[in-house]
Amino acid sequence: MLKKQVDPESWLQEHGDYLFRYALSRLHHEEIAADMVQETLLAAWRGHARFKGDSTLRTWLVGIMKHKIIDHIRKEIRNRKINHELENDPTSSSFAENGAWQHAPSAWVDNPESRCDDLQFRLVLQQCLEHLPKKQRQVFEMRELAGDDTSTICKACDITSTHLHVLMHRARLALQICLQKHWFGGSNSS
Amino acid sequence: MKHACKHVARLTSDSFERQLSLLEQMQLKLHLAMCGLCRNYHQSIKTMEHVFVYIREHDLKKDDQLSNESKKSILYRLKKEKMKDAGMHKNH
Ligand SMILES: [Zn+2]
Repeated sequence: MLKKQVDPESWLQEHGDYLFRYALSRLHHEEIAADMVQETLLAAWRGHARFKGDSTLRTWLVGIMKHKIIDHIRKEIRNRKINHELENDPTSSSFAENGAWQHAPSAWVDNPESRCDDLQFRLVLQQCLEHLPKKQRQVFEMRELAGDDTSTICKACDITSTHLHVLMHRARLALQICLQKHWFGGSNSS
Repeated sequence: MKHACKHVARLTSDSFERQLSLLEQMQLKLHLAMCGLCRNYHQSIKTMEHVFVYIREHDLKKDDQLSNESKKSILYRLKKEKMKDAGMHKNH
């Protein structure tokens, strides 16, 4: 009975841009993001008999897209063999040999929660993310932007949970340094 | 105890990833109580977490859109797929 209403073209009109933004926020590449939308809608069309209607259509589509994105990331990892991009370790320069701080973390006076809608802050944050080594960034964004859980990330990236924790730690440290330098530290606009 | 800062930075991050053991919780608490730099770091990481929670909940770039070209090519693929299906049903 749902059949009559199934119309993938209307999915594209109603949810295409949303899906595109979703993919773009994970993959940072417009062409690939558009491909993901196409893959998602095609898969949805082929599998629409399975749509039970107990979630909204958008939620269902996003669910499909999440799988497509993970598949894509897996393929990319296989192609580039970036699995051992571990050398890039900010902890080496942050701490002295005896393990004490070499860069001094400062207290962040500014309240960044109120800054989230500030375009300039977003820009700085985005740039700091872009400076992370590829693997760290990928894992960090799956975790912090997509909100994926440990097992999902480990499976997608083919890493152990310990490995994930190391990457998260390094990414946090690098971001802390970057944000402190470019936002919370020095140049306080008066 | 200074040598522990590196370790404490790791614990700080891990506390957002997994349940720390009792020993680790103690180490973290004790060290934070007496080390201002690690306290700063801990606080900034916490702040950072809040930022990402906020971003997760409020979709970021709200103005990005599929280009018309992409839309056209996706529409084309969908139509083709639909026709394929319709063809199959006729054969039955
Ligand atoms: Zn310390």
